[in-house]
Amino acid sequence: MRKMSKVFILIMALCLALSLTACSTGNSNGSSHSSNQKLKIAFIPQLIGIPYFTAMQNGGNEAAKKFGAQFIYSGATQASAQKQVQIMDSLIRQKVDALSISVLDSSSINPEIAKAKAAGIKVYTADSDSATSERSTYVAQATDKALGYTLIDRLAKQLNGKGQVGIISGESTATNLNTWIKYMKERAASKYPNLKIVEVRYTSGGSSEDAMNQAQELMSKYPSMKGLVAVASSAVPGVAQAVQKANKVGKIAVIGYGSPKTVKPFIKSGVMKESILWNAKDLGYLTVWAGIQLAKGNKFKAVNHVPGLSNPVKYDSKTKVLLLGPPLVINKDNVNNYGF
Amino acid sequence: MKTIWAIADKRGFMLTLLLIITIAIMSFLNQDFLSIDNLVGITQFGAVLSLLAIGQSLVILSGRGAIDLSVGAMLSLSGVFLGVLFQAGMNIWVASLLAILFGGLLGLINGVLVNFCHIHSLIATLGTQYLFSSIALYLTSGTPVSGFPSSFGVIGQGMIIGIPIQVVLVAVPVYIIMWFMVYRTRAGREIYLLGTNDIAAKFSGIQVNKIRTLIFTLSGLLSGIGAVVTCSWLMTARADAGTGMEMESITVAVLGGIIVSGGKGHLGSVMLSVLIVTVLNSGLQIANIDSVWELAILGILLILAIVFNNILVTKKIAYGGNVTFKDKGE
Repeated sequence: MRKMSKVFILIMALCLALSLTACSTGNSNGSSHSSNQKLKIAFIPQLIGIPYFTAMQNGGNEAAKKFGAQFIYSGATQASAQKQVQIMDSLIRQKVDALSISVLDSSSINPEIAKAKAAGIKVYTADSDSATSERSTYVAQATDKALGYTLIDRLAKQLNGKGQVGIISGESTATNLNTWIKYMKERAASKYPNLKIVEVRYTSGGSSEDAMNQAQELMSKYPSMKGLVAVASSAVPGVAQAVQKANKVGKIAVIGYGSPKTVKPFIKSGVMKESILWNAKDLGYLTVWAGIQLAKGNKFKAVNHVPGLSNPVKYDSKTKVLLLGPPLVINKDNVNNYGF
Repeated sequence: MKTIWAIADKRGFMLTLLLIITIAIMSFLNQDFLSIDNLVGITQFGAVLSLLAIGQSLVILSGRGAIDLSVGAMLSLSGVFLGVLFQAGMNIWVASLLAILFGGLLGLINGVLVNFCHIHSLIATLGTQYLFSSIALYLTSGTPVSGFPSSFGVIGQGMIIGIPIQVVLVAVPVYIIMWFMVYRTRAGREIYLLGTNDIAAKFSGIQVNKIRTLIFTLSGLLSGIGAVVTCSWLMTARADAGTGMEMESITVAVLGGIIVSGGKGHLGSVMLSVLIVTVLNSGLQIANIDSVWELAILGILLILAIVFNNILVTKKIAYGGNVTFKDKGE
């Protein structure tokens, strides 16, 4: 029995010692925090381990290094609303200075955003917004309008402003894809009267096989078709392959919203000249920069020059949206420059 | 030395030790971790898991290799059921009560399939897991139900003197009731007897199938309660709310010393292991350790706990204790 109690006492003493050291260091940190400690800027992606968010992480790290902040990138291995809430709670407990999130489900994250705000943390969204929340700012990649317009402008340039064009999208219910299509139609109708969008096809879940079938059908239905647009990123490979299979490389222009890694083989083989997206790395960079400004209490100007970003960053004080800039046009010259 | 081994042999002691070590390591990793506020605050992430783990443990305890793989799906579907009732205009609290009962009904379906249609629980609950999740997805068509009144958020987000309400008013009372039922009533003793010796239980006049069916129903009821807490916590009813929770509940039960062949293990130890897993997860998150490693560390912990246990049991034999090899390995 004596031995047992000794073990107990040892453990208890150990715990006590630990808690004392923890408390004391904690206190000293607390007092010196404002003067010389690095600002803690956190970002919660929708999930980790995919190239897109890894690119944002890399951009965030770069900005943190440049501006002398600490960047915390914390996400779950699966896209889950519960995990986001849980991670956000942990970050609030860590007392980070600014906290950003790419929102998966606004209804479950809104109370947590309110909680972070109540705890005195600057909360903002990046990459995906919850407009109904108490977030202070939304760091947006590009406007839907700019994405739709730019795609049609680039396609029209390739086709000299005329010809039949088919669109292959993802799910018919996907809000973002439908908005882009709406702006594409608007641009084509107002600026390129000879560019005719003949048909919009949808694919289940944006699957590559389905996209290929739809593209083949469109090509046989409209033999004089000049361009194909793959709206969902996942539909890009299917559409490009369909054109390759039909030996129409150079006769039918393929364009879409595909990431550099996705479109690289097709740009190399020549079936695609360009792809439209935004720079995920720059988005991560801007997210951390914005967090530092918020944590320092600096107000955004209508046009901000962010050291390290080539384009000026616009801020709309009405909607509180900080805009990365115009969409990125990916072509054979820059396709190798991005890690996503 | 003999006495230490004898004490440490008790799962509860080992788990307490493990909990203290976990908290100590987490405090080293992050200096802000060890505060009462933090430690109490993070218990909210274990409340729902503890409900499911109690149900799971009872199912496993009842023997015949029983397991309930549908607890997560029952949680999802009961939550969605709550959401649908609310959307149809029902009062949120009435809807919550019905959702709990609905969970019980789902559990009853499992119980009947296993005990009266004689389908092995692994297969029966695997089947219902798919079925329940599909229905949940169908009912919401992928869009989560939200818009609950803010008063409903009290269960999942409220605090009483700094302790999360879902712990004080849900998880702890449920545990006390279950503890009383299992360790202070005849029905409870029968569950253990079922697990250790099915045939003896039958001959001593226990209605084996009926009790087992009731246990599955209970597991469903607990999932239903978990669903209400989850809905209140997220203020949303999601068809994927319980995804993966069946495995978490099994992990926690096994770490807590519930023996997979049934009849052995204590609910108190299961609660300790819920605490360990919760502290571990939150601690790793607060220390900003890549969540890729969370699962790996949990896996290592599970294996280590069992290896440690086996060593202790072997030592005890070496010192002349009357432990048989049957007790090893769980």
